[in-house]
This record gives sequence, C-alpha cells and structure tokens, in this order.
Amino acid sequence: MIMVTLMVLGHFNANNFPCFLARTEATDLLSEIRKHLSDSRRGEIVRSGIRLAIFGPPNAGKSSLFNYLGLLLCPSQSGVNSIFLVAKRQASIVTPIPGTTRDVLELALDIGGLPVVLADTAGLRKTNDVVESIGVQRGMETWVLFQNSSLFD
Amino acid sequence: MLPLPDVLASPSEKLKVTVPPAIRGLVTPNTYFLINKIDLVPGLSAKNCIQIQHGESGISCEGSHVWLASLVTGKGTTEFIEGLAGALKTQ
Repeated sequence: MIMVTLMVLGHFNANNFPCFLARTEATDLLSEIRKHLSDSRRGEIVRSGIRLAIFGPPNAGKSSLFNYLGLLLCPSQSGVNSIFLVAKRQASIVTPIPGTTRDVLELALDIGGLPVVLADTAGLRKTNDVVESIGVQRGMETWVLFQNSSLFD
Repeated sequence: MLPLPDVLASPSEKLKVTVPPAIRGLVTPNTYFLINKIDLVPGLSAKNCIQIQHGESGISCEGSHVWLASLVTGKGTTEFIEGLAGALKTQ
C-alpha cells in the first residue's frame, strides 16, 4: 500500500528498495522456470537427448549406419546420460551375415547441435535362432520405448 | 532403414520400394526412411524420387523424410545427415 501511494505521488524509485527488486527478480525467475517446465518436454530432450532407433530388416546396413554416425559426428558432451556409449570408434560388429546384431547398442551423438541418443537394433525377421529371436524382441521393445518417450508423440 | 536391392518394387522412372511385412507395423508418420545400398542399383542418384509403399498407403519422397544413400560409397550420406538434422530441428 505504501509503495502504491509513493508511486502515485511520483516519488518511488525501485533502486531504493532492494527487497522490491529481489521480489521482482524472483517473480521473473519463477515465471521463467514455469515456462521451461511447460515447454512440451524440450527440457527433457536437452537433458536426455532425442531418441532415435534404427530398425529394418537384416543386412540393411543398420549397424554400418550406427558406426558411420558414431565415427562422423562429435559425441555429445552436453550432459547426456553417461550410461550411453560415447564413441569415436566402431561400436557395432558388422558382417555380411544376416542376424549379426543381437543386443541393442546406444550411442550419444550431436546431430546439428541437438543431443541425440541413437540405438542400433537387430534386424527384424522371424527366426528359429534362440539368441537372434531375443535380439529381435529387444529391438521391438526399444522401438516401443523410444516411441513412448519420443519428442514426436 | 531398407536395403534398396531387396525392397525395390519398381525400377522404372518413379522408383517404388515396398516395406517388408515384418517392418510394416512399425512405420509411423514420424518414421524416417534411409534407403541404403543405392550403389548396387545402376544408374541411381541420391536425388532420385522414390515412393515408399507400405500396406495400401504410400509415401512420396517429395517433402517427406526419405533419403537414398550408400554407406559403402558415401553417396547421399551428406544429404541424409543434413536432412535428418533439419527434420529433427523442425520437429
């Protein structure tokens, strides 16, 4: 009430009221935080990266692409979760034999300034090989996981 | 990711590839297609237009997320990475 009165009288100078300035700054900060929290998960993406899964039939070149991007693009150093491989090396085994990739491999990359978590998955096909079928199952699970946590939901 | 020689349905003027049945259910509007191994199909360039056929619907390459490349020769890989970065930023 006092401040309002002073302002009306034309004698108010905010610089003389540190508490008023602090409150204004805190309000601005709170507003900024609220804006970031309701930013359609952009904050989450900055923290954990955009999730991209490479999927396709066996021998399409998925692991070659994974290695190519891993070697070419600077791994993100921007705080992307450290459990992911950060490579400047061949991360996936590549052979001409269909069904070589079994486990899901993940790599943190920087694509055009955006943090990206890239996953290499087993080629999707029906198979009687027990280990390969587990790999296919894991690939499908990764697809579901990435789809559910995707920027594009 | 699809290997061009295995999925090429129509090698005519308008290239058409068919998504294998095992993959079809995973294709969403947010799926990006990289058609690899274009070096194994003579006379193709990374700039060729290609149509992706899955089920009854089709996706044209024009204005959508489809790239042709060869990871062996490197043809089309620059366009793919630039296109992917652009697409991610847009999304």
